[in-house]
Amino acid sequence: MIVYLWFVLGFFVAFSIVHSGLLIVAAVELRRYAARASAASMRRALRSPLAPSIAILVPAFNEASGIADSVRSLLALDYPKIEIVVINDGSTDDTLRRIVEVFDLRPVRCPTPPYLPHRPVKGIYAPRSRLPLLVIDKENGGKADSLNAGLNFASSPLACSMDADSILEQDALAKVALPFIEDPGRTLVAAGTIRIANGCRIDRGRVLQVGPPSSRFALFQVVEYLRAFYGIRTGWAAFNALLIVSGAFGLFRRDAVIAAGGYRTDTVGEDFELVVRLHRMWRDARQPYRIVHVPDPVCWTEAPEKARYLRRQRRRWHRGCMETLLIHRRMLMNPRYRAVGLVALPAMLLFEVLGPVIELSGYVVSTAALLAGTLSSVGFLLFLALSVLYGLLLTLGGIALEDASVSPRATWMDLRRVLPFALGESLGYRQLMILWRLEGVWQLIRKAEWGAMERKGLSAQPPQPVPKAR
Amino acid sequence: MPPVTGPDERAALLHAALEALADLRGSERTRLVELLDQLGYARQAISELADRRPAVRRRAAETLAAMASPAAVPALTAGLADRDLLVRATCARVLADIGGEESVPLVAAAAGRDVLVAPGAAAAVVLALGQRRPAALAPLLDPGAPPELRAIAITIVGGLRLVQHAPALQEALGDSDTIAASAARGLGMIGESQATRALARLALDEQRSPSARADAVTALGSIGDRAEIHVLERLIAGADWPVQAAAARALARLGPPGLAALHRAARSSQPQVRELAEAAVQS
Repeated sequence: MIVYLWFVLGFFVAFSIVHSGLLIVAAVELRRYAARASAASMRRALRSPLAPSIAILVPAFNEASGIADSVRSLLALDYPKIEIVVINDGSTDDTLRRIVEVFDLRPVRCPTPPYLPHRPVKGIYAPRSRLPLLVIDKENGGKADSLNAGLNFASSPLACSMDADSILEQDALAKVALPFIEDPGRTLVAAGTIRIANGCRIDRGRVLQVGPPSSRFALFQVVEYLRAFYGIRTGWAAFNALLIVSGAFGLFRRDAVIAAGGYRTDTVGEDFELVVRLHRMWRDARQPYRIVHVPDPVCWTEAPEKARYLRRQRRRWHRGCMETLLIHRRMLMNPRYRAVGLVALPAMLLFEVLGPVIELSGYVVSTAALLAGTLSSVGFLLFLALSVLYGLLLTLGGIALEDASVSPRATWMDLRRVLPFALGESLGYRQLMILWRLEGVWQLIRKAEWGAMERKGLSAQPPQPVPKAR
Repeated sequence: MPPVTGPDERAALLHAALEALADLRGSERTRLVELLDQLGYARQAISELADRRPAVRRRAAETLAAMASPAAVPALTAGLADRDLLVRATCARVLADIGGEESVPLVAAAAGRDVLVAPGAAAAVVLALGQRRPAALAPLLDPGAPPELRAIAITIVGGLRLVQHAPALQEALGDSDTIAASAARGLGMIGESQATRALARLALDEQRSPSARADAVTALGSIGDRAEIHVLERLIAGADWPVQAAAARALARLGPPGLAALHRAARSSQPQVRELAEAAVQS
């Protein structure tokens, strides 16, 4: 038992070293980004004829309550060349009728391009005006299938994937497009930062005021997201080893995604899998490429507030992670894939997939060792304190990085308020996540179905539960 | 206006002024630049361009870029040899904007040197050259120029619609697929009627990439030369979807003769050709 506890201790130490290292690298990267990113340089880049057109792909399933506001806010984004492609994924509510009415759309004939397979298209709608909007009405096939349809019909060289109920900040698209303007030949993907919108004051698809969520689960996720986006992902991207680009906000070179075969529809982690596949293909072809994380542009999204929806989300994420690692297992520890194969994927396997098992078994074995008398109570407490402390430090590091970013937004988040939640995250929330992620492992083994997600909606209208079948 | 004396106050004012200068035009811009000059910011930036700290030199270069002060030309020319890429790129961009004829070869050389590591920065320099001195792009469009720089120059010529460089774009149609596609797009934007034969050759060349061929077809539609309708009619019945779709859209832009060609295609035995032609007629 003691030997196993030493192993678990070693795991904690390895985790702390890797993640602390990533936070330090992220701090350097944020500093470098701040030195380069001025409003003047962004405006200059956007006035350039080299600024590429961007297709914003908005998959929508039963989004009648918020779709019009979402499209209006996208049309008002600060970017010179956009086309918005809404993909109505077989909604059973009024999503299609609502968008057709609000934007005065008419059915148009548009042959289906053969680049990527997807569920059959029932109709295409375009505005009578010159609004850069296209609506694809198709049979239900899920988010990945919808994105493939959007990629097919879009005409821009860049494609931005997002959720219909997410909100992009006014200049988010401009900022995330900069890497493509600065290095168009090599940049394949630019990921933006996702922030939790629960608690923010939102009107007509715009975040007017950032505020703390009322739900504890949402508050824990705020802290979690800060750490993930300002710390971990910024750190991995510095080594060109970023593996996850959130489906809620990522900008891709459209021809690269099409060349890679689009999004896979047989995995629940389609965004993660696509990014790993792009790494794999470009490394296999020995072509130079960059997959970057831009720490400033922000997309606001709604976090699940109820335990059962959060549980469902985490089980799905964990299953997606495992599926991707299984699909691309050949890349693990393979020097051909450099930092991705040698460090990022093994870290993902060790800390994300096996981590819950190791950590949970550590709690069980240490308790058993304490009861059996092979571990002293001081040793037991030290073990627990270490497991709590490393989580706490990483969380505080993530918050500090957000505070040091180009445009910190969490002004409400002073240390006194955050500390109890950071502590709570390490003391109860993380352990709960471990259990739910282990359920994801179990469900992968049993190939279980995924339930619907409840969302309140981010518009100013009264909250309405909207089932989401993905 | 109250005196601005402390370093923090000076830095804050400079920061606000630089952001404002990015948007201001005309007399308001001139007045703000004069004010900054009177407050000694240009002198300070010129001396800081020789500072040992890269961050200070970058800020100095950005200040001079925003102020575009001719007095800074010697310091900016010296800045082309800076160790820091961002300082070099900023100096080159602002020299392309305010420097004299003698600065052009130095600026082009600086862009060529950094194009591999920072293509965006090199593009900003080439863009500034193209906007201020379109003739200065000629050496960059030459087949002997560094390929990466030439590709950028070709894109910028199209974006700025620099008709005097259309022959160079036409020559670039025979280059690699990426460069040819960019040149074809540029010719379409310029509307160069002399290039239709060369564009048609590229569009019909099945050895070239479908995207380059599709760009050539789109350019034919933009130029609107009805003499090439038979080429587009042939391409809509071809084997590459992007080329077929581009040909259908191009025909739809060519008025009654184009529509007549689309009606003929709509009677094709191939369902895909019929579908494309019918959709184009309806559009």
